[in-house]
Amino acid sequence: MSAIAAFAQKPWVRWTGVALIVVLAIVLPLILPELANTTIARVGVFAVAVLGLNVVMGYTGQVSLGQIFFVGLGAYVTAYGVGQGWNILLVFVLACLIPAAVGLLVALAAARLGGLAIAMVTIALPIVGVPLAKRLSEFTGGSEGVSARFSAAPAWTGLYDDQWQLYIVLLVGGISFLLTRNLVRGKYGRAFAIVKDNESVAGSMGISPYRYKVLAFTVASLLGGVSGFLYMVVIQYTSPETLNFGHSITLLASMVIGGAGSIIGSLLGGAYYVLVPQLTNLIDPGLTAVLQGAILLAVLFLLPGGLVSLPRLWRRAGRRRGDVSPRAAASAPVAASASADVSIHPPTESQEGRQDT
Amino acid sequence: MSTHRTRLRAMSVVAGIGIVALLVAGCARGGDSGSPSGGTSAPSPGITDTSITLGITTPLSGPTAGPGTCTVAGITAYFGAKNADGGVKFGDGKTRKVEIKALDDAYDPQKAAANYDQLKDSVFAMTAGLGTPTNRAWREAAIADKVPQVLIQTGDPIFSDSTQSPWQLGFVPIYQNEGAAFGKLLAASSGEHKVAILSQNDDYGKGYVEGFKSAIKDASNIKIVKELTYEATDTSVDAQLTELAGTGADVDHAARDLVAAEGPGAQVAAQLVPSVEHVQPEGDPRAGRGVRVPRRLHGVIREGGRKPRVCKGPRCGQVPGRPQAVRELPRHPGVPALLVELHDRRHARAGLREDDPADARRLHEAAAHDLGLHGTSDARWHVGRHDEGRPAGRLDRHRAEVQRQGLRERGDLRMTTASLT
Repeated sequence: MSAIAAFAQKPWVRWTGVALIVVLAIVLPLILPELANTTIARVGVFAVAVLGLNVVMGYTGQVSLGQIFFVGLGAYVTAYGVGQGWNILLVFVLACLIPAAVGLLVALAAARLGGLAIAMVTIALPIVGVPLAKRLSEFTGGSEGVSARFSAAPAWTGLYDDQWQLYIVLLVGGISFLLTRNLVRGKYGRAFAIVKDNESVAGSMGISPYRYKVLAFTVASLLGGVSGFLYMVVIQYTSPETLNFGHSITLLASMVIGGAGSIIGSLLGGAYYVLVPQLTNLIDPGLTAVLQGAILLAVLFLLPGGLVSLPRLWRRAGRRRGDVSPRAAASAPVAASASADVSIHPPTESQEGRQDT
Repeated sequence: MSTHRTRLRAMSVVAGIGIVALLVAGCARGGDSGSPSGGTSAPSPGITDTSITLGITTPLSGPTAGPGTCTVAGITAYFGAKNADGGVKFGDGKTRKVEIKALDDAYDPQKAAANYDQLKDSVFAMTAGLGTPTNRAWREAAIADKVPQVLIQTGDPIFSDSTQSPWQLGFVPIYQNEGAAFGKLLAASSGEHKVAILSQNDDYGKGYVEGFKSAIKDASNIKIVKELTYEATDTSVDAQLTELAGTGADVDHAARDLVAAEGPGAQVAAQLVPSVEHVQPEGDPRAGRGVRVPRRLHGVIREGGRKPRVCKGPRCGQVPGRPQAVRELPRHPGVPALLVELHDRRHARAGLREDDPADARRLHEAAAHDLGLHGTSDARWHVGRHDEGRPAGRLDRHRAEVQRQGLRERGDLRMTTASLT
């Protein structure tokens, strides 16, 4: 076991892992069929949303039921900006900043309340968001929703639209994951963890629970906005239905199923959010809700730590048998490769900007 | 030194993988990468000389699962019977079996778009999906892919605009048309009417109101005194009804009959429909059981504020008085307002003639069905109950009971049917 860990720690193994992931990210969109590409892109969209939720819930321990509101807000900002013909980079920045600003405002009030009260406040967001989106019809298109088709592949690339969209998702989503990873593994991550475990201890160490709760919530909202932008890249349409409160609950369930407080778990959560409805549809379209409930219960019973704990479970079983399963060994360098990325992507100014909040 | 060698090794690995990958990529999608627009020679997917496949994405779970499930069940049953008889004869002279592939989108536009992506390469056309956002989500994709999106269940006018939606065809009449039908009916009636509008806060309600207003634009006898909205997910419209009742309006126009078929609005419909149709007289012990209508409203819809008579004796349960406006509606003496509206819509839609007894009966039956009297074959009962006061038989009483409290259970049609049969 330790031999494998040591093997995974070797620099060239980690670099190979990183290279493998990067090359796969470049090559897979070119090989895969269209349906697979759009499905992976959708997984990416919701993985970023789950990642945001993970920052505030998994790492900082604050229950947020409003994540879908920020996804929807990001999507609406994107749709509006595209409709106005603004530069797409500006639209992207706005789709990140506006949800972050709204999240900050909400968090400034909500984080003053302790415990589950913050959950009660965040419940209000999607519940208020849906009628709001319907009534502000000059911005949102009302209940008919609004389309924004800006993500067609440029002619010079020679790519299909689905390939181009997947590249955008991989790039933006990948950067989001890296930055968030750096955030939660560093000084801020340690502060989040202590705020989650014990606010009094955090206070005694000079870490203001209030400030860090607000920060985590703002980061979550920002990632929600990023997810909303990607939502428009892939789905190209948004309506008040996007903000449906039920989706917020599904996001939360996805986060728990993927693995709370885990970067890879966020990815698995996004996959759960997208793939399980499609999978249950293939089994029996009339029983989707029942099957999804059964899968949810099965995962929670068998893997309380989420899907991300599966390799650990296997490794433990392998150790009990006195050998190591080949699958666990194969997954080790992949997991390790993620940590190797830290060195090539130092924290950016966007993160430092967030400290001021 | 060692890091240098590591880097070299890493780069060689990257280069190796990259080369292999590019080679693979060169082969992938090779078949169609040369001529993405050369699809004219290739046959459309989902159709052969003996079969055609249609795709459906519609809510089969969640609050709107009711109509979605019924759609799929109905289509499957119909084409199942047709297939068993040998198939459907098409315009090109060939007889094909119709296969249905239905997927659940839970009224989520994102899932609807995903379902469309999943189905589009294996079906000839997409059809019958319910919902404005769930159909809009992939409307433009369907245009780009040239996949027909036909006979879909939304009254959104964009699907009936052939310049904007060349590959689309709506199924239900657009909401504006339906609203205009109500407006026309009212404008043609004699007397002055004050109208209070209660509409669902979405494109559906707005379309109705828009159509209604355009139809009464030139009618001097109609005045709109108040407009309120409710959310499709609301379970109570008490507040709105009370406020509308305060306006003294004599006609309450609501985009309500379709609401009854759309899950979350069922309770709202239960509140609205009885408020017009089944006002119980004061003092009736059954009054207020099952439906809770603000008492003030009774007065409003009864001839502008006249106090309802107290119900006594064997005829108890029949509505003693009717709003003046409704009574005056042409050609329909004694038929309640909602039935008149439904009749008129059926009439217009199906081209049925009111003066033909067989057609009139059919209209009554349709209206009875819309009122939740699923399985009612003798629709004379409606008129009879309200006007002739003929002794109600056992079944009639049972139906009356179902109607009185059962409209609440409108969401579960099976329940109503079961209790009737």
